[in-house]
Amino acid sequence: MARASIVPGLLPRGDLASNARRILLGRLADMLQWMPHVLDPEDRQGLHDFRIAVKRLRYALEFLGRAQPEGFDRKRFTGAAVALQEALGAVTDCDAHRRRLLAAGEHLADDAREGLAALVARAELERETSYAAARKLVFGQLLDGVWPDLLRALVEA
Amino acid sequence: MAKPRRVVGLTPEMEFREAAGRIIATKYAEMVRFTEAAISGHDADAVHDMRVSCKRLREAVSVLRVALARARVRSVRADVEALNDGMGAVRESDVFLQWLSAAEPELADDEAAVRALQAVRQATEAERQVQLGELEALFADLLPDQLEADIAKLSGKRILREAMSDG
Repeated sequence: MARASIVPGLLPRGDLASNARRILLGRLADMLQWMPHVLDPEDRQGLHDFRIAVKRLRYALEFLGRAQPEGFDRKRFTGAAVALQEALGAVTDCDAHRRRLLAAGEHLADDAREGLAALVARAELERETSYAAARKLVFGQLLDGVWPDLLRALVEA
Repeated sequence: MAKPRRVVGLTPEMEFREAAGRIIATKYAEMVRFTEAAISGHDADAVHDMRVSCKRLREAVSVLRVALARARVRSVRADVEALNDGMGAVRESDVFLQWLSAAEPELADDEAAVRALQAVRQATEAERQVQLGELEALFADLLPDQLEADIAKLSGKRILREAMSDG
């Protein structure tokens, strides 16, 4: 799993709002760094790491978003992160199912193993659909400007 | 998925150290309310909700550690990581079992596929039982005494008490 970046410049005796802003910027930067991995459907580890980075941003938004000044659209940003995490989660779930099926195949009796291919095929088909939906969502969010808006909100606060 | 519990008393001007304690206490309280249901063995949603809350706590401890007592952070992180791994194993089995159930009607005409599905399901259910037993042992080991005592040292007893009684 990709490690989260260390957020520099946090001050325990400083105020919550400015420390929270630094943390959110750090988490946003981590997520944006992983975003290009969505271009390659076979980059399973990259998609997994992207999802983890989205999740970290989401949680930080959940517990630190309220500490931002009035006008910070916490619901919009958190909602976008939740949607993205779920879409990527659907892809990584299919990867996990496929892995488990292939591992199970090594321990099944011959008559049960024969039918495993149909299950693996189903997992792969479902993954294709989930991947297409996740990729579409990433592009949709970029076009909608939700992440540049979050960046702007944090930098201009 | 369980909604995150709101951290009461946060203001933008408050000292980061104090806010960190409040956040940690709230995320801990959010997690432990699912304990009983999660180890009942019959409530996959509770395992999921508790695991999500555990991840929230883990992220909070990770990102706020600079504002928390360093020695306690190490111990809390290790405990939370162990809980997350234990719940993750059960949760992954649950998700897989749900997927197998959803696949079953579509494969009804394929006898070999149904045989494979049933064999895989049986093995996964057995695996889940073992994982649940391990999780129960982990809960008995860490919850509530050890982790709660460490969380109280990070957040302050009063703040943890307030968080536990809230909602």
